[in-house]
Amino acid sequence: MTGRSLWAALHLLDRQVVDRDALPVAKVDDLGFEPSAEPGGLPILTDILCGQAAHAQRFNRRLARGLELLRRVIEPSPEPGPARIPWVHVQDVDTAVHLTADRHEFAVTVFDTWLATEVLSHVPGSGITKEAGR
Amino acid sequence: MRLSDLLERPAIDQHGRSWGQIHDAHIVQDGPVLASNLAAFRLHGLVAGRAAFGSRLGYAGRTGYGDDQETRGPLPIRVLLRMLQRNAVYIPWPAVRSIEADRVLVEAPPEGFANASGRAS
Repeated sequence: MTGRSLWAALHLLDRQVVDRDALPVAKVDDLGFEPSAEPGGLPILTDILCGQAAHAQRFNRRLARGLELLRRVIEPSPEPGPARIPWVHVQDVDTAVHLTADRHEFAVTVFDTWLATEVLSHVPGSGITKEAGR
Repeated sequence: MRLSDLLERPAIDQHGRSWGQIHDAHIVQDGPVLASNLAAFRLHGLVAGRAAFGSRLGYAGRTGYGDDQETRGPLPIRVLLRMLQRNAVYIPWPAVRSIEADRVLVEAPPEGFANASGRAS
């Protein structure tokens, strides 16, 4: 039986990802595929990649490497690569990608939080406090 | 492998012929069942061609995509973009041999790849 058919760039890239409470989590900046366990099998979509590093990878690989390095400095992670949301958490895809989990389960806003707390909170009039950013 | 490893790279066959840049990847929900009780999406093929604009806007016909699902109007734009997209081809994933830094190597059948719209070319 043939399942639902999608075009990855047209239907998924740049779509908003929302959590189980319909709160925005991130955008789909790239997709991760793993080879099939069966020999000659088709690759399987395993992850939504998001964040600045994943987005930059589509346009400038050198910039993406720099951003990825920065992310690892801010949030040391044993997993190489950009922030990712496992596809197993995806419930549905329509005009947005709907997750079954809470947004805080994914470390996809690490860079934004760091920018808010460490940089923007020092800008007079930003309205962001160091505590509020966390 | 990432989708960005494929997009906008030229597809080159075993004879050195370029089939244009890769513009999209066709995924179908027919893989193994995941912990979410939904089937995983598998990568079935790629669409490549020389014009990408119509493809990005959903005007160009695609394999597994009915006429009623395509972007329809305005008519002059649709006609123009479909004409630009007429040489787009669908490359089944088993024809992909390797993904290199600046190109994707594919093995073209003797008769060439089918038209991306799934219609007779």
